[in-house]
Amino acid sequence: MMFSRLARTINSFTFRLALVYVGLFSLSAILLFAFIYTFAMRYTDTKVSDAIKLQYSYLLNEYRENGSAGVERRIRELIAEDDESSRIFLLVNREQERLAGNLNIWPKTISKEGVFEKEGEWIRFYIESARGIPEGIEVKALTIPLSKWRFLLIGETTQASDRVKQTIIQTFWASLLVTLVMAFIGALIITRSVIHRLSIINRSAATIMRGNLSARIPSARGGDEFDELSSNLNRMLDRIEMLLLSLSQFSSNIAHDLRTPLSRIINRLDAGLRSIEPSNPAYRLLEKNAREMEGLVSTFNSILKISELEARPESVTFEPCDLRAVIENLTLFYEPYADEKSIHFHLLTIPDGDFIIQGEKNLLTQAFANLIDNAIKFTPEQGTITIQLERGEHHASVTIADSGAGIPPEYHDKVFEKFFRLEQSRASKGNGLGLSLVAAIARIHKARITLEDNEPGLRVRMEFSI
Amino acid sequence: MKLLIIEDDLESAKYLAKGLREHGHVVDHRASGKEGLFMATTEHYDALIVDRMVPDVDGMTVVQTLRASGNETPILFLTALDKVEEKVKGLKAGADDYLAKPYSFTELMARLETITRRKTGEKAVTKLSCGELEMDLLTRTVRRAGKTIDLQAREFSLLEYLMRNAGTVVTRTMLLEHVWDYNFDPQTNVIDVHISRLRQKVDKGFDKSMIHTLRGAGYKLVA
Repeated sequence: MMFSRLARTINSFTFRLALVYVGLFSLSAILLFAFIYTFAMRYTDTKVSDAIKLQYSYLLNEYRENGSAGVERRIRELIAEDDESSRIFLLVNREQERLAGNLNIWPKTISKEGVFEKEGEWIRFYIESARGIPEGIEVKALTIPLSKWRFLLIGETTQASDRVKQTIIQTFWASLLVTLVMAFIGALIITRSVIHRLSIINRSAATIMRGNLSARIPSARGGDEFDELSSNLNRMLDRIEMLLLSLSQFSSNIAHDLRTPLSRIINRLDAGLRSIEPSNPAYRLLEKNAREMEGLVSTFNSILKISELEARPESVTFEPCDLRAVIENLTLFYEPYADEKSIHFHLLTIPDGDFIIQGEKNLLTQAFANLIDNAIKFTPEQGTITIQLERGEHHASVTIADSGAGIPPEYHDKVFEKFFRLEQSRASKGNGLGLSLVAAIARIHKARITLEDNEPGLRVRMEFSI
Repeated sequence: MKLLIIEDDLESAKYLAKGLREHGHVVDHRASGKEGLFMATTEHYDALIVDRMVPDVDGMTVVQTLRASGNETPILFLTALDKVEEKVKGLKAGADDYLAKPYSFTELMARLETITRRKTGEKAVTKLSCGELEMDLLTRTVRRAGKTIDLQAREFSLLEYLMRNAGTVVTRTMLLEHVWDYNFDPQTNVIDVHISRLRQKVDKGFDKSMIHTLRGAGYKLVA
């Protein structure tokens, strides 16, 4: 339940739209962080350079005032007061021998060629050997000659800026995760609320399709686009209901108006038949007309019955009805007739089993009678008709299988249409309404009808839920 | 018999009255429920034919009023509404039988005869007889001229109905309704087959056939 609801949410159009929004939102977050990162890195770099430059000018002053010894002392002081051990100093002579500083050797990666001629150069290297600072740490440094005999390296480990970098990256991932989670939840909430609004409309539509034409979509009168859609659909339904109502009024008027003249014609034919001798040539004519009228009345009654059933809501409440009793009685009713045609007529059922469904006995009897009638009509002599009652956990079904000509698969849907008759059945008695009536009866019982090829013959199955 | 028709369609009533008179009945006709009810309560009739929809007082009320006042005259109810629920309503109100329009005169005659017969001779009988045919409803046995006839349950009901209405025509629809409790019209001649099976058992070995088929009308059991 929970899972299917989630799956439905994720599959929805609104959710996909929301995901696009999440994507764009995340992209803008990434761009923002890239900007912050670049800016912060540049800023820390500048800060380090400024600090190094400041120390340089300080040490250069010292050199001018107190010479090499002063610088050496100052360097020791500066190292001592550096709590974070991030400052790097190295003062060397022309032979590159260390005079002061926490770096033991001049970094190998930096060329010694003409080093003393250079004005000053920004370099980066990894510590190979130093005092109080572990190896392998990256350093940004400035190398400058103080004079022809003294050469100075002032640097700063990149640990601080690395920390900033790490903090920014961690923050980035954390906030991206939060953004994604929040956006996903947001998308779910938006989708759910849209689905909720739409499902109100969908539920009403389903109720209406089940035959309750008076149902309407509840509207909140909030005036948003969904309320507008609902009220438009409701107005459309009002119009359809009115049209259908006048149509059914119209057909029941026709039905009523036709009954009287039909009655009169039958009365006159009856009176005519009674007033003349059977030897009179007109007698046969009148009798033929009377038979024709009977057929007409039966067609007329079938149409009225189908119309009435089609207009009936699906949700009508039924009484419990024993499907087994209905079928057993019909089997007894039709057996002698099938026997007359030398048709093998079987009823297969399970001995104990409950076949009580919700339904109207009269209508169900009529439906199965039509199906059995058809089966006998279209099964040749020596053929077989098998009626089978089956029971599933939540359904009961009746299958009527014959060994007649069958119905080509392309006509399986068409045979339920009113007045549709297959070429092969045109010659036989019937009005082409039998299966339409079956379909109408099945609909109000929410039964499923399936037609299958019985090889040879037709197998009709009607399944009721219990 | 003296009969009253309560029907507002004058032409239907005219033909109906004409046919009934041809069969030797005395027929009165009223076109409204009010007048009909007045006639039915002041005169004595053997049966009433009442249309469901008549002006002033509708047919259903006519039937209910008569029954409420203790009037037990057999009533055949006519209606333009061919629905099982309508039929049940009519019978519950106190009508003895029900016929949907358009109907054939033979059908109406057959039904009229059965309801008048049933009313007069309807006692809690345990034995039925018709000529040399005897039926015991308690032991569910049938004998013809002393010879036992084996019948299946439905065949027994079918013969019982014919015997209860011996001498009068019963139509296919009447058999469907009363023997099988079916309210539909099978497209095939199933009833004919049932009758011919019954006839096989009842008439076989006897010179005289008791079960008669009347073409276009129905069946009749004759002593």
